[in-house]
Amino acid sequence: MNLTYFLFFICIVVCTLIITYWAAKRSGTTSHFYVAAGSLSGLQNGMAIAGDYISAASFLGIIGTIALSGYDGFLYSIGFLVSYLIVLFLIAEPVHHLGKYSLGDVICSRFPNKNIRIVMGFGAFIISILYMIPQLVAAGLLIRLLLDIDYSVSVLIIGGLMTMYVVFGGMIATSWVQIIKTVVLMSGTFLLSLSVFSRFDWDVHRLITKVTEESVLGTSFFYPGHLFTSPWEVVSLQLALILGTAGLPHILIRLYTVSNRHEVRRSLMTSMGIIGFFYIMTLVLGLGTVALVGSTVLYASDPTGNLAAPLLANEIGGDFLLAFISAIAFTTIMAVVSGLVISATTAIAHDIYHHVFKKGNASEKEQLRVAQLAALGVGFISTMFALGLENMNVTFLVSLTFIVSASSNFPVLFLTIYWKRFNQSGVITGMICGLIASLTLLILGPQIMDPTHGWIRREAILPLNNPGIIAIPIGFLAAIIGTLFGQKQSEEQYAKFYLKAETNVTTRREH
Amino acid sequence: MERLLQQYLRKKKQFLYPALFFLFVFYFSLPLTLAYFPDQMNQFVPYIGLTWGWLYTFLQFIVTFTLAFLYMWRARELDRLADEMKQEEKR
Repeated sequence: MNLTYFLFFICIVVCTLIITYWAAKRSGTTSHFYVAAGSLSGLQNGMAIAGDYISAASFLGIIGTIALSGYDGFLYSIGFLVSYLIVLFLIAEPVHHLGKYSLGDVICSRFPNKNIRIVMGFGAFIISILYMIPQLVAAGLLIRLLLDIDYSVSVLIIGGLMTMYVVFGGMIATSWVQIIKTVVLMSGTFLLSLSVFSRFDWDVHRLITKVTEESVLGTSFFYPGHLFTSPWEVVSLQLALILGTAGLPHILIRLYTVSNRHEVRRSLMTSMGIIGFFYIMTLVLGLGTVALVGSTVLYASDPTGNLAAPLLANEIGGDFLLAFISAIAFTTIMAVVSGLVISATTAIAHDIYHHVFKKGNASEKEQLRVAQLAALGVGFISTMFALGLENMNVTFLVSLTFIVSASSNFPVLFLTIYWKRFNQSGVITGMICGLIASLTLLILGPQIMDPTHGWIRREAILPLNNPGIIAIPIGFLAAIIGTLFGQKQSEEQYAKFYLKAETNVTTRREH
Repeated sequence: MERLLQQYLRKKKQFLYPALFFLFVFYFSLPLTLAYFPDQMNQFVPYIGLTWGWLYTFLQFIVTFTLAFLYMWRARELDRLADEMKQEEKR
C-alpha cells in the first residue's frame, strides 16, 4: 500500500473519530441518541439525507452501468430522484408530526398495540440489515481491490468504525459523518466531471463523438434497450424505486432530526437538489469513462462496471486522484452503513425493548444503555455476516430493499395516514404479506434461480428480476383485505389522528 | 376549527390530486413510450441535438423540481392555516 492512500484514509478516520468524540460529549439523552434532539437545520438534514441515500451502489454502480449500458443506465437513476416527490407529498410531514423516534411510533399513534410494534420493529430491522450486509461486502471487496488489504481486515475496520460512531455518537455523529460524506462526494465528483469536460475542450459534441467511437455499442450507446429487455421489467423496477424510498426506515427517521414541518420540507428539497445534481454528474462520469478509458478496458477489469470511477480517476489524475476517489468511496460506504446501524438500533431498542418488553416504562438511563448495547450487537452481527459472505454474490439484496419497503412499509404507512377504515388487522396482514411476498418472489426470480451462477441452480420460475409490480399490489391488497375482516375503528379517533397528521394540532375537543 | 380544517384540506387536495396524477402519468410514460415507440424516441428533436428519449429523460428532472417548488409554495399557505388552527385550539 502506498503512502498517498494511507494518508487519505487516516485523514478520514481521524476526522470522523473527532466528530464522534465531540458528539459523545453532548449526547446524553435518548432524544440526542435517536434523533439528535431535533436540532439539525433543514439544510444540514438535507445534506445528511443525501449522504444516507447515495450508496456505494449509486456512486460506483451507476457510473459503471452508464458506461456499459449507455442510456438505460441513466434511466435507472431517474426513479431514485422522483421517489422523493412521493415522500414530500404524502409521507414526510405526517411522519414528522406523528412519530418520535421510529416508524413504529407513527403507526402506533393511531393503533397503540403491542403486536403492531413488534411487526413494525421487525420490518425496520430486516430492511436495514438486508441493506447493510451487501454494503459491507461491497466495501470489503472494494477496499481489498483498491488498497490491497485482506478482505476480512477491511470488513472488520469498516464494521468497527460504523459501530463506534453509533454507539458513542448516536444520531449526532451519524448525521455529521453523512454531511461530510455529501460534501466530499459532491466536490470530488464535481471536480472529476470538470476534468472530463476539460479533456474535450468543454465541447460536449466532441465528448459524444468520442463515446460513440470508444464504446463497443457504437452509436446505439445513446439508444435504450441494452439493460432492460422487457417493458414489464422496467415498469416493475421503476415502481419499486418510486414507492420504495417512502418506506425506507433509515431515510424516514432522519425526518425527526429537525424541529418543524417547514424544516422537514427544506430537508427534502435540499436532498433532492443534491441527488439530482449528483445523477447528472454520474452521466458525465459514465460518458467520460467510455471516452477516456474505453469500454473494453472497463469490462476486462470488472464485468459489473463497478471500477468505472476509479479507472477514470486514474486516467485523469493518476495515483493521487485515484487515492482521493477511493477515499470518497470509503466515506460513502461509512455514511450509509452508519445510518443503517442507527435505524436497526432504533427498531430493537426503542420499538421492541422499550415499548414491547418494558411496555413503555424503561427509564431514560436504561433506554440509552440498551440503545448503545443494541447498536453494538447490530454492528457485530452484520460484520460477522459480511465476513462469511465474501464469495457470495449479494448485490441483489440492494434492489431487494426497495421492493421490500415498497410492498410492506409503504402500503401500511400510506393507509394508516390516509384511509379512514384502516385497522390493526390490516397493518399486520399488510406488513407480513408484503414482506413474505417480496422475499418469495425474489427467490423465485432469476436473481437467485439461475442455471449457471444462481444460489439455486435451475431455471427461474418467475422471469422478473424486480418483482415489484407483483409484490407491491400484494402488499396493498393484503392490507385492505385484512382490514375488511377486522374490527371497525371509531371515526372520531381517526378525525383527531388525521388532524394531527396533517397540521400537528392536537385537539381535546370532540367534533 | 372545522371551517379552517375544511379550507386546509380543500387547498391541499386542489394541489395534490392533479400533481400526483400528472407525476405518475409523466413518470411511467417514459418507460412505456421507450418500449412501444422505440423508433420515434430515437429520432432527433428538430433544432436540439437530442433524441426524444433523452429530452424526455432530462424533462423528468425539470418536472420533478417544478412540482417540488409548486408544493413548497402551496405549503406556505397551508402552514398559515395550520398555525391559525393551533391558535384557535389554544383558546
